[in-house]
Amino acid sequence: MNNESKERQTKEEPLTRGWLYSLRKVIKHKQGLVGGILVLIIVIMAIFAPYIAPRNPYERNVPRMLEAPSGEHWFGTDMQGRDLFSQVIYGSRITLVAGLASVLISMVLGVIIGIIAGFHGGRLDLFISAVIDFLLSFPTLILALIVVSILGPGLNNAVLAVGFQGIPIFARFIRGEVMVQKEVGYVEGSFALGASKFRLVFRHILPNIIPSITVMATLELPRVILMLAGLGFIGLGAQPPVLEWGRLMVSARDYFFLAPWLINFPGVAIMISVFGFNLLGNALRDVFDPSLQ
Amino acid sequence: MTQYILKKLIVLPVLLFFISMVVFSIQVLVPGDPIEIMFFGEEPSPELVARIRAEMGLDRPVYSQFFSFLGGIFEGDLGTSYRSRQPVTVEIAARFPRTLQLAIVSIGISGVLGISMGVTAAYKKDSFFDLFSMGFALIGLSMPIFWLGMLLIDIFGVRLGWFPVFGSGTWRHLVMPAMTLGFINAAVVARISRSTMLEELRKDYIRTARAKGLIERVVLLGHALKNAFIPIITVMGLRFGNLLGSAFITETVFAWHGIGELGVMAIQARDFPVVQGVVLTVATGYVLINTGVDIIYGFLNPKIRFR
Repeated sequence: MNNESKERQTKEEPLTRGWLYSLRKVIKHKQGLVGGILVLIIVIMAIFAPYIAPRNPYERNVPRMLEAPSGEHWFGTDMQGRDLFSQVIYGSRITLVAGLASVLISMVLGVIIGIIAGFHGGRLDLFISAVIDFLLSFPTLILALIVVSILGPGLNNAVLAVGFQGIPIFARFIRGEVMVQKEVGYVEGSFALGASKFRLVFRHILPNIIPSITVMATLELPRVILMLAGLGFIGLGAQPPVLEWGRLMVSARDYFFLAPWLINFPGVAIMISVFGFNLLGNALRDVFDPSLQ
Repeated sequence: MTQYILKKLIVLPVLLFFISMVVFSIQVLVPGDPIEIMFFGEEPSPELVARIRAEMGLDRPVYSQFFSFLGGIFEGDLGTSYRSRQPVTVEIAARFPRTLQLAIVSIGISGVLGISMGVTAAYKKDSFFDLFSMGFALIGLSMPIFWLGMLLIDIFGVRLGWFPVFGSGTWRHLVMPAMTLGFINAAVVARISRSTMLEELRKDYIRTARAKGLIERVVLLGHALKNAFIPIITVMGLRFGNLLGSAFITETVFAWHGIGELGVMAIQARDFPVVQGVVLTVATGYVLINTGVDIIYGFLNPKIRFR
């Protein structure tokens, strides 16, 4: 009886393999569950910010400036009497959107460059690989700073800069993946049957590396969020009045001794989102792509 | 071995050449006229503008400007700061030792802390200590470095008053920025040490060593750690370069007058000769360290040399 049910299970397993199956595996992965919940909290905060935030985050109330956290102002108020809790809630939007946009830039360009290099091979690959290796010989923050110093400070430019520094990281990784997939039997078979390069890349290779791309992007996101916050903090990223967490902290620096909560709540917010994405990324990697470990 | 080192050393000048090209391209790609940035808010006479243009070589074609920029590097001339009107090399030379000092002390902290945490965690796998220290490491990886810096300022600078809050000069100024950078990097070192140690401890020679009756300390430190050291050193070498990068943020938090702080101020003020100088210095340092790590790696691990 027991044996029979086991057999049935293994037989049925392939049928249930889909995104639901993967989701279940991520949830069973303890880290993945914790990470997923944290990420979900941040996403809900971002989507429903106007409903969650008790006040308008831009509304000034100077007589009530620098108030300590209380029942009325959960996270206290800033130097102009604005409600910090509402500011932090709205800040999740900037962090998520800016982080995703940066990763998207590095991902799309990195994937295109990686596929071209890995698929085409030959001299073109040699050239692209050399450029990638060269770019990776800079510390990542320096690459971003070079772009920021050319474009000037600001959130949009910071997103471009952080997106740029990630391109070589994605490109190198995708190139390797494509080179592996290229040698797999069914791709060679399809090529032998006369499939076009376009078809090979989009119908066969790309769908097979999408899990790795997803894992990579999730693992990149926390790094990118930290870098964007760091740029905001040194005054080269988001500028007032954009409610970016790193920027909120730099504005509060002068009042730090009077009102440490102005620093600590945005700091905790950054840490929770980075921590959540780190855990989720690790879990996704274990589920989808154990070889990446 | 000689061949391996030679190969590394031949690539080095090529890399440095391309780095200087990227650094030069900053001044070409920046929108706007450098003269306008120099005389921000002032109205210089046309003769003066023409003279400075000729002095800076802005009237010449780009490639010719690049070669004089490259020549300048060899002569130790990186131009003049728009703001302080001082030679860039002088400003950087005054600040570089402080950044180096900060980087060396913090890599020391992260090495001692990270390796001892990682080795203990691997030895007592799945124990409370393992769980605790790896959770600690994951938090360290998720923490914005500037927030950790400000927390330390709050606790040790303001509340306890043990260390000065801002500035640089004495070793007491060095403690908090070095701890900030050291802690964050200790997280990475601890994770790497743990996983490489776990791998080593599983191998046959460890079982042999134990069967021979060696005491645990010798097995752990003399055998396993000795072999796990290579990947740990590599990661630490690479982190050293990144330390130079994260120093931009840490130095700004603590007003530690190193080249990171200089670079941030220069980007804000659009003082491009200084930006170029700082980027060139940091990138060159990073490449030199990586090459050094590669060569040490070759000595430590003979397999690498014959690839």
